[in-house]
Formats: sequence, structure tokens, C-alpha cells
Amino acid sequence: MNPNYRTLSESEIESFAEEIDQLKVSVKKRIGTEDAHYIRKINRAVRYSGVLGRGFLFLSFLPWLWFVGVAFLALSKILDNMELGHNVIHGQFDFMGDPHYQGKNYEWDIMATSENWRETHNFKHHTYTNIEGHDEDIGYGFIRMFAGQPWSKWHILQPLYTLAFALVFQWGVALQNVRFEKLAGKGWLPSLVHNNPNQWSKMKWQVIKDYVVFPLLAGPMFLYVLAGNAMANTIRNLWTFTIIFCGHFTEKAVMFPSSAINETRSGHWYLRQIQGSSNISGGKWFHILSGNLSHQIEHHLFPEIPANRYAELAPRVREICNRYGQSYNTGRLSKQFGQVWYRIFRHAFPSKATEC
Amino acid sequence: MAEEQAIILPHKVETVSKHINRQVYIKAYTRFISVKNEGNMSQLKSILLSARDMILPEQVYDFWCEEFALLSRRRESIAKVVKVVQESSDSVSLWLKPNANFQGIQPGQHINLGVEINGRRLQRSYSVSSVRGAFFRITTRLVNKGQVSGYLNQHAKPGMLLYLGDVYGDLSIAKFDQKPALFLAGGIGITPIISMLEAWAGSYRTLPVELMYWGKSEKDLAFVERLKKLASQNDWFRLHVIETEFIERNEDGSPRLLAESSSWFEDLKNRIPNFEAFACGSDGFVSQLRDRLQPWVNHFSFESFSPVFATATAGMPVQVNLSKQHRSVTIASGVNLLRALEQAGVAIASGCRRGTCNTCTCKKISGLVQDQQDQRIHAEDNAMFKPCMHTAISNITLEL
Repeated sequence: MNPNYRTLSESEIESFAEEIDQLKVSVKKRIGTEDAHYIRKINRAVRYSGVLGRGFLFLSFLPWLWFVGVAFLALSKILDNMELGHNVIHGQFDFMGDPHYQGKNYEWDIMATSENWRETHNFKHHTYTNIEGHDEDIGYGFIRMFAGQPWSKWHILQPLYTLAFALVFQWGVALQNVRFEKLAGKGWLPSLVHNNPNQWSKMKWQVIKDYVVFPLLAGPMFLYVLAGNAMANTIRNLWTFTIIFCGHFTEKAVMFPSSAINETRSGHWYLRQIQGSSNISGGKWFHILSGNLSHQIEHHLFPEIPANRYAELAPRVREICNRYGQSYNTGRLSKQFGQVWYRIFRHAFPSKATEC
Repeated sequence: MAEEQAIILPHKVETVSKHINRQVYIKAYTRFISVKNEGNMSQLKSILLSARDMILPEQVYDFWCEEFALLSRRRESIAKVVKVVQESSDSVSLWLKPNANFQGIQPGQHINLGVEINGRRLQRSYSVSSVRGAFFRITTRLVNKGQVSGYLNQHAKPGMLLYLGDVYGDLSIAKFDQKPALFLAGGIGITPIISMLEAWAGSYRTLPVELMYWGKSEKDLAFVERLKKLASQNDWFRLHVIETEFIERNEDGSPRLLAESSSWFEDLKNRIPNFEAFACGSDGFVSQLRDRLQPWVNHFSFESFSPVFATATAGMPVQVNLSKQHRSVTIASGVNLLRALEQAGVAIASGCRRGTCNTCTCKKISGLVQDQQDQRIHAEDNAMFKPCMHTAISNITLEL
């Protein structure tokens, strides 16, 4: 049916799953020193760039230092968010037994609590990737990315509000799991706080940290630091939005009907991961900055394998995909991101499922 | 009840009135940043702590301490190896300097030590072999196929960091302070004993201490020279070393630790009833001595060590202890642990059931589990693991 993905017979799906499983086991056996060393190196980069970023912002009476400060702080936040936090919270580095890298206890410098993230991302998004009604990451409930989603007249505005959403992306992710119902006898804000105490306090902490405490520490540079922190957060928002949307909404990405959740066998699950994800090609630094989500396909097949292994897995996954007639979606950032925006514009207007 | 209140109340009122202004002031801030009230901690202190955690969270603080080679950590207890001593051909002692988070250890007690090997932190239990001020020493003997003992024997060097876990053991030096002691050590079982002897070496002890120390041959025994020196310097201490290489055998081939005709034993019998006996060694060693000595001594206490063994076949029942719920359930080994726990009526948070979402992850306090995918055995105590990907292969204790 879909020209990009050959329909496989049950026995083919089984042998396909077996090959992917073997690949996983073979890499799992090699996990050790190298991976521990890698994540510590990333942690070191996060800490040094963070100190440099905040330090330069404090010294931003020389205007050019403000830009340097913003760049370092944004770099630190991006690395902390993408390559360190995201991967650690998946439990990829639990094998180390080091409490500083335990997925279950890790908390990161972003609005969303890691508890919240484990639910919406680790569980819902990864288990039900691109399944309508189960994966809330499909347009985050208000951006129409696929023809299969119902259209309303408000979607005409979606190119505009998607851009606005990208600017405050971390807030969107934080509020994704927040319950908005108003409680009887309580105002709107108190009910919000009551429904989501942890998320509420985390958001407050983050705001106070970046917009009160660190600016205050800078004394006379208060406003510069405040603006610098806001800028760094915005850059991180735009970057994470870009990478994450490229991961699942390129041209050939498939959205699955909600009935797909009943198909839990490994082979079917693996196939959905491949058909619903797309990679971005690039150099070593690009992969690190994207938190190795440029290897979205490998990440979705093996979310529990340390991210630094994805690059070596990629050619083998691609080879298996080719043999089974599954298109392996990859391309440079401009191409992939262009396809994402094409979708955002195209599906702002009524579209039929056959045109996907 | 009423009386109590009458006494406490005025005191409370007084403090409140004294600090009333400050409290109002603090309250305005706490409302703002919603600091959780933690027991008796004053509100001001908790605000300062929160501000500290905001500017310098644990993770960041610990990173910079490690980067600048400082031992300080926000919460973690760690220790630096300051001296490495080869005790015998196959045992090595490490002198450790713990950081301020460490609560201290007594001679005779044990500690769980974490060592990072090949990127993985492995944990083993050691008895402390000497305590000097804040510093303490552990001694490890190379065991066949022992990952940690092998690593420490070959690679331990000053500057290396070890992670300190729980300290435990009821047996401590205080128990033998006021009584004559008979110590029975099998091989590396000498460690808790030497720590007590070292502590007494500098004291005015007069009550006798007798040590029987068994080992294959004298050159393989740790601390023999030191013990001989202690024996020559201290009138209260007598040492007997027994090489098991050439002595009589039991029916099962194990060395007969105490010969029927042992003149030492005959002599000892006359004195024994007054002794407090303590044996430390492998399971077999301790049980052999216990059978032999228990009728004769005032009190016999012992500690033994032996590795945990996995169940031989899948399907054998294993017991899962749930530490938080104070109960245990029996499941079959070899089946998926998450499913087995659910079937046994244990409420456990779960999500994807395929090892990706990290929701069911919980702490295993002890026991062996095996990865159902790559068959790796997960033997670390007090370590996190995913029940949805493992099967229990021995009795286990989970923090649930």
C-alpha cells in the first residue's frame, strides 16, 4: 500500500525482529568503560560550558561578552537537555551503578519534571510512537501533522502558532502532562497547583533560578543576565523543537491508527519505530548536539542502549531495513526540517488520508 | 498529657514571640518559593538550603569536587585510597580516607564497598581490618574468579576512589573488652579480628586473648608477621598458626581443623569455659568449629561468608522479599519478574514492559537476577534494575 514500506508477511516480520534483537544483544554485551567514559565527558562539557556561560553573562558590561555568554549557556542547556538528561532518564547509563547517572533519580535543568517526562516521553511516546490518540507528541494535540487527524478551521492558523510554540517549547513539554480541570470551589490557578504539585513547584524553581536568583547574583548586571538567560532558553527551545519535530514528522513518516496499540509483538513494534521515525545526517558534533536524536530510528529501536552506540548501529540497521524493503528515512537537517514545515502548512488546510 | 502540655507550652510561646517578626518575614518568602516544611529544620535554614540547591545542585557540586580532586560530596559517602600494602602473595590491604559524609566504622564491623570496574560499579562487603582515627583499612584476598578482589589485588593504587555503602555488624570490639577472648580465624576471616587486636595493642588490656589462625601455608596468610610482633610485645596475646596443607582430613576431604588429640586443645579445655569465642571464616570452617567448640565455651559467636548461588534450574520457587511492605511472595525462577510479581498480587508501577520506559525500575537490595535478553547476571546489591527485563534466579529482596 505505502510505496515506502513493503508490507511484510508474519514470518518476515518475525525474522526481521530476530535480526534487530541480535543486533541489540551484540551491542549490549559491549557496554562498559567506553560508555561510562562518554557520558562523563558529556557531563563535563555541560558543567564547563554552564560555568563559562554564566560567568561571561556576569561580565557582560563588555557587550560582546554577552553574546559569548549566551552561546555557552545555550550550549550547556542543549547538552544537558539532549545528550545528558534525555539519555540518562531513559536509563541508558543505569548499568554504571553511579547514583549521579541513575535514570530514575535524575533531574534536569528544564521546565518539565523528569517524572512527568518518564510518563509522556519514555512511556507514551516510546511505547506508542506515532499512534493516533496514544502518542501525545503527534503535534502535541493542537498541531495537525497528518491527514489522518481531524481538521478544524483553527488549524489554518497553525503555521503561526507552531512558531510561537517553538519559542516556548519547554513550557509546552512541561504542560503536556498537566491536568487543567478546575476543582469545585477553587479558582483556576489553585486547582492547577493542586492537580500538579510537583510540576508546579519545578516550574517556579526554574523561573526563579533563571530570572531572579542568577540575575541577582550578578548585581548591577541584573538585566543583562536576565535577558541572557531568556535568550539561552529560547535558543534551546528552538533547537529542541527543530530536532524533535524532524524526528517524527518528515515526508515519509507514518501515523498509525489507534488500533495499532493491540499489536505488541516485537516485530510490529520495531516496524512502527522505523516507519514513524527519521534520522538527520551530519557530523559528530551535530549528533552530539542533537542528543543523538539525529539517530532517531536507532534511538527508537533501542531507547535503552547508550546513545553513543547509535552511530555504529546505524549502518547495520539501514542494511536490515533495505533488505526488508523498509525505507530508512534520513537526510540533512535543511531537507528534513523543510519537510516538517511543509506538513505544518499542508495540513493547516483540509487534507485526505490518501495524500499522506 | 495535660501536664506535658502545661510544661511545653510556655516555652513554645516564648520562642514564637521572640522571633515573631522574622517569622512573618520568612513566611512571605516561603509562600513564594513553596519550601516544604522538613521536620524541625528552621524555615530560614531550609530557604538557604533551597537557594544553595538552585545555584549549586548536588550533581553540579559533586562534579566540581571530583574535578578538583576534593573528597567532599553533597550526600554520597566516598573514600580515597591513601596507601596500598601487599599483605601476602594473594591479599592486599587498602588504607582509606573517608569523606565527611561517612558515619564511621568500629573494629569488627563490615562495610559495603563500591568499586568501579569496566564502567560498572560493583559492590562487595569487607570487614574492616584496622581503624585509626577517621582512617580505616580493609584487606581483600584474591578469590578464584573474583572480579572485585582480583581488580583490587592488581590495580589498587593511592588516589583511587571507592564508594562507601552501609556499615553493619553487631559484633564490635566492646563485646570482648571485659572478657578473655578466643578468636578462630580461617584465612581472610582474620580481618575483623586483626582490627580488634590493633585497637587493643595501644591500650592497657590485661585479659588474655588467644588466636587460632588456620591457612593453607604460612606464607599465604595475611598479617602473620604483624601478629607475631603483637604476640611478642603483648603478654595478654597468644598466637597459634596452623597450616592446613599437611594436617589430617575429614571424610569430605576438608582439613580437620581440631585434631582429637591436639595437646593445645586439651590445654585449652581447662581454660575455655571462661572465654568468649568468636570464629570468622567460610561457612564450612565456621560450622566445623561450632560443632566442636560450642559445648566447651562460655559463648560462641561467628561470622561466615560464602558466595550466593543461583538456583540450578528454571522453575524452582524463589522468595521475593518486599522491604517496604514487610512481606514476601514466592514466585518461580526463570519467569519474567514483572509479570510474576503482578501475578503474585504485588502492586508495581510499570509502563512499556519492554525495557524502554524505565518506569518499573526499582532497587534490588540483594539476590541474583538475570537479564532475559543477554543472559547477564545482575549480582550487585543495592542497585537499580528493570523487573520487566529480568528473572529472579535466587531469593531476592526488593525495595518495594
